[in-house]
Amino acid sequence: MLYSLFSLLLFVGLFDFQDKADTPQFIPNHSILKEKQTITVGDGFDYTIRKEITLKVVDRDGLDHAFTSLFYDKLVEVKDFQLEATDLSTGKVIEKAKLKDMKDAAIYSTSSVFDDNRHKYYELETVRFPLEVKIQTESYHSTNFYFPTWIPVHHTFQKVDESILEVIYPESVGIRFKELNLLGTQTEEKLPDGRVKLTWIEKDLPIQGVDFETDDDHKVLLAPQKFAVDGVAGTMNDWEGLAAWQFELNKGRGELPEEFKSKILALVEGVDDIYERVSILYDFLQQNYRYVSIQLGVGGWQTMKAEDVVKYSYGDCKGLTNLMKSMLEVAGIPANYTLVLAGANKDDIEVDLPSNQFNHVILQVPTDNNPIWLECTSNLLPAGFLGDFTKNRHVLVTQEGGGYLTKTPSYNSDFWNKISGTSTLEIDAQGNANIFSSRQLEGNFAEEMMMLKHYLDEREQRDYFNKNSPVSGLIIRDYLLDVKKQDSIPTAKLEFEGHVARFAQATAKRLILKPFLGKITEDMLSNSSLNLEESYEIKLPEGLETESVLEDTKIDEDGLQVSLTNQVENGKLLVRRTINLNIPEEMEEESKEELLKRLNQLGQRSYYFTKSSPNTN
Amino acid sequence: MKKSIFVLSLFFIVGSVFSQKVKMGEFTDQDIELTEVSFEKDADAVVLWEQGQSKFYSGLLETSYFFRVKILKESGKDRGDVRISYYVGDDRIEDINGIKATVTNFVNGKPEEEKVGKENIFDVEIGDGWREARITFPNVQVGSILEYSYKKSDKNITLLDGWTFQNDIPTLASTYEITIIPQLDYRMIGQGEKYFTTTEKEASNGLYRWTLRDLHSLKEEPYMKNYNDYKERVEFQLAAYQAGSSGGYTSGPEWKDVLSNWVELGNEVLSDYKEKGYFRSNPIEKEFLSVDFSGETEKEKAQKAYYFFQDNFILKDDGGFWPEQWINPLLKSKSGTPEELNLALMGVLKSMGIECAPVLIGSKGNGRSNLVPFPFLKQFNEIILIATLDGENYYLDLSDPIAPFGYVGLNKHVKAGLLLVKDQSALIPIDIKHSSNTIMMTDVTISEENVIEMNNTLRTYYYEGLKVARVAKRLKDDNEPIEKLFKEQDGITFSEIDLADDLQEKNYISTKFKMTKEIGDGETLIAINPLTFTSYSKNPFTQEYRVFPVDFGFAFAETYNAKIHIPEGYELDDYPLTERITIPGNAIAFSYSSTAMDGVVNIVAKFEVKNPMIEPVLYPDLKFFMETVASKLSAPVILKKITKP
Repeated sequence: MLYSLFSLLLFVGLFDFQDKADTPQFIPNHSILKEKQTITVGDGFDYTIRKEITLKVVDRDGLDHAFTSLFYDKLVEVKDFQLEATDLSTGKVIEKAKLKDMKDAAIYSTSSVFDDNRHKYYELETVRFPLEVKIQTESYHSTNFYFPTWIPVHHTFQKVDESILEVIYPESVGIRFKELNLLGTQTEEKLPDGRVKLTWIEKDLPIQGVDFETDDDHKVLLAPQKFAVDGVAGTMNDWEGLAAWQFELNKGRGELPEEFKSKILALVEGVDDIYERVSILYDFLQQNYRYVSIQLGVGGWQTMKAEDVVKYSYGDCKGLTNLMKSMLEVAGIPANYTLVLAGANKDDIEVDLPSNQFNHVILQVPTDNNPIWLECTSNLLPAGFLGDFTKNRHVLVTQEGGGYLTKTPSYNSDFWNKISGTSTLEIDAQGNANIFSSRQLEGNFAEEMMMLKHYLDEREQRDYFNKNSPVSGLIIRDYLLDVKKQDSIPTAKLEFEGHVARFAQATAKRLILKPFLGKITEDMLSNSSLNLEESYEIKLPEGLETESVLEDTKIDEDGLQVSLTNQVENGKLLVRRTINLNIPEEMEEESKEELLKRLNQLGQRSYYFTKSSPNTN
Repeated sequence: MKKSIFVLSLFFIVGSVFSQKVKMGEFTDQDIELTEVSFEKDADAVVLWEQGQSKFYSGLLETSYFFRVKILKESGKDRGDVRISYYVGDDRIEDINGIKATVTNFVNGKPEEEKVGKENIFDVEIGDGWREARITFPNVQVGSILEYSYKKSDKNITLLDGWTFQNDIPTLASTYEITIIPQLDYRMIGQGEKYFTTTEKEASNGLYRWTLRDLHSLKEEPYMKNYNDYKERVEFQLAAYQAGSSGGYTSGPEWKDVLSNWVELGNEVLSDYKEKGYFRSNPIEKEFLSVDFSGETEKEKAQKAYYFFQDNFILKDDGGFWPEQWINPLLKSKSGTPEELNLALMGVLKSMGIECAPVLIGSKGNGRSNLVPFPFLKQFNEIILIATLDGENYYLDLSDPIAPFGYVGLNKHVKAGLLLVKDQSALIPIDIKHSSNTIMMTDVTISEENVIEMNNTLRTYYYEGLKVARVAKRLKDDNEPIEKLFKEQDGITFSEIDLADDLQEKNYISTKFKMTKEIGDGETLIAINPLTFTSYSKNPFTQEYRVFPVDFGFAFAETYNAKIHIPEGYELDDYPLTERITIPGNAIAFSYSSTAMDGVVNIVAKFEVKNPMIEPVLYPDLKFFMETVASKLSAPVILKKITKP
């Protein structure tokens, strides 16, 4: 068998980064921090955060660590800011600043049109090091619905000498917390005025380098027992309490105009099947209402009225979900407004700390079997399919008087992870090839195609396929990308016809086919399941002989069946690959990498053919 | 970034001579029936019509804007969110008023117009003097026509905003009108392919109108350094204004020139630098009294000064050519923008008696990398220095915190600039010489332990070397090992990495490294691909066609030389054929030769870009060329074990 060296080594620009290397033991530090943060919760479900920071900036790279940014909106007010910077080599104070010296700017979001998020910020400019910067800040929060997580180490390459968190609260309001990766101490003290003081002290924390895993960060998550937002009170001792509050906050905001109700009823008239009814109304929502991000004060938690969404034909996730809920109710289908921490790569929430850990809303439609899930901000996904953004995680279903925590589907069976395809190629004497390829993708793999079809124009789509072809040099002449919804399964059919420049390499004696089987990527394993079936029929130029034995490969293990067969018949190379893979969700990253390596080594072989009449130089 | 402001006190009123050609809510059959754009069939939205009408009023320029956009596909509904940014500054330099918006849907062919209410229009203060008006259209559907109009007043009547005819979606028609009043004389400059070929132009009685039709959407393409240079645009700069009569019966109105020649423009810019203290030697000399800038030659002194700034000042990323800071705060904070640091460096050099002056340039991407030959201020956006050191001219630029002395940011490698010298400012050609080449030497052996060993020396010159230096610095800053310079490859081990940075002295960086890979027992054939690490072993051009030229940035060559020593017990069985290719016009060339002699296979490959700008018409040739290069660079040399009889 031939042995190929350095077949894929690339520099980025000139060089690229490699992922694996021993991390040096020594990690430098650019600043040294001593901080005390005091959160004082009031009887009126409000709180202030006061920070006293002493930061020694060791060098120029640590200057960013002295950057102060204080968020504010209608619910948060910046009360105080004082800064004093001292040149430690001379002992002279070189800069002083107060609240009035801070700059003010909108926190600019390209996605959010309606928002009032702003920050006041101050940037220290000096080159005198070492430098001591003393900073005091105070912000007032008119609701205790949400507390920022306390993370004592703010930056990579920062040494924390000491960081203290004090939380003072009246027992009538209460506090709950969760500690993660703490190394220091925690105490509780009853103050003479009856309030309770919790104190955490972390000292001499290890300096974090760029490869530090955020999961390992030291932190304290805080949540209230009782809370109120804009006068609407609730309890957060359990998930039920939070769910009940959310339900209450949206109560009465689902009313729809009579004319609209009639329209809804007409749409589902004569349709009995619940999935079909949901699907019809979901399609109606997707076609007629567009997503607009709205982040205004309490609007962050409370939905727009359904009638306003109808009036304007737009809404944010809350508004669109609330409208869909109302539409379903009109059609006699109860549905539940559900809170979720969305994001393709987000960690799951801390399920043992009931608190507001959510940033998005979806809809759950209970049925006799599995519930139907609806992502109401998407105008692409089929009813019952949640995309990467919200699948496979804990969510809070809200109902009148309570609610419960449950998980969204993970779509990790074969059924949701299917790829099948055939390709036929004909190579000419120069090594160029004509190709016709047909590929069917189902479930998770079709989601990407849906996005592609929606967001890229035809030229960009062609470029995407050219670029992502396992063989470089593909120029698509004609193609068809058809995305569909088969009930709740997204499907995509991709067919293309084109030309591959230099598909085969010619040497003096040989024609070499570079690896053409697509690589199995980490993303393809992200759903823990893969059902792949593909075949290639490659017509070779005349006068070639197979040089090496075309060995077939088979793997049959628990959770992994792979078959790769090769044969040359009537001047055609026939290659067929099947992979059936089901891996445990909790599989370690390293094991996944090993598995990928194994799978790809099988597929990344070149095919060598000798010419009957060699060329000469 | 702040807008540059020129405010002239002029007070006169002229009536509008315009009548709107297209009125809100009045559609043509073509508007209503259009479902796709003939020249961009998959566009998700289209600008059916847009117009700007500018007139002068009470010393202000007031422009009425009107836009009509049609939604053609589901993804085009995002056009229902509109943002209009404007610069208010401290003195309401720009202001927006009278926003009106409507959405029209066609039900059974009949238009249903809905006015956008106040609750869907609001204004946000962004910060730094900028504000943003936002419109959210209700009831946006596929087929909806969105219309909005507003008026913008602008106190800056020296440099007018002008008009961009192109958008990020296709535009069927874009028109701009301006009435130039008799008291003002403007210089106008156009840009773009269509602007010079198919524009419908009208001019009468001070009214000027341009209409461009069927404009492609503007989208970024790879290997495109100056995107904005291709936009269809028209811009204006005041050349003279009527200051009023001198009072006598016989004298006519007095005209005052504004930036009417290079000298005047230069003096205007220099007066700002002067006002901010960059030409005062006092503070500079005082600040650097204790710093040793001595040297045998002017170049040595200048180098010391350059590196002093680089090592002791913080570079802020806001750019331009108007310094915001005065010299004293700059020297105190030791933190400044590139133009401020460049000017301060000029001050130091001048204080040592070195001839040095600022040069205004229009960097690539600013829209004017090819200057127009009259004093149009807007074509400039950056500043570099020219210094005469020991009789030789050097270009200096402090915009890169690690670039050696004499290196200028690549986006500033333009053909000409405006040399700023009091009463003598003039356009000068700029020619920044460099040979940013790459040379790679590889020695391949197979050890007795059945390990393929490749000992490599990669030498990267000038700006290619600077690229390597940047990555190395990032690794150092992130405390990462130098091995991370290389992308991990299955089964390949990198070792003995030695990076010697001689950029400052010799203009190159040498990177020595070793790659090894074990060979399995019993292999009879070994394929070695010694050149697959090269930059072009993968074709970067995958797009079907090209709208704008491919721009490699500068001419360069990459040369690769690999020696493969055939070990005992093996013979050379096969190797890639010699090849030499180019594209029509010879702008880019590739050669590959292989020879075998005395147990050594020698491969020499050279990739050469002779003319960095390749027109779209040559794109298919370039694409095939690059594919051939990629294929060749990854072709293997095959060694075969000698079987004993």
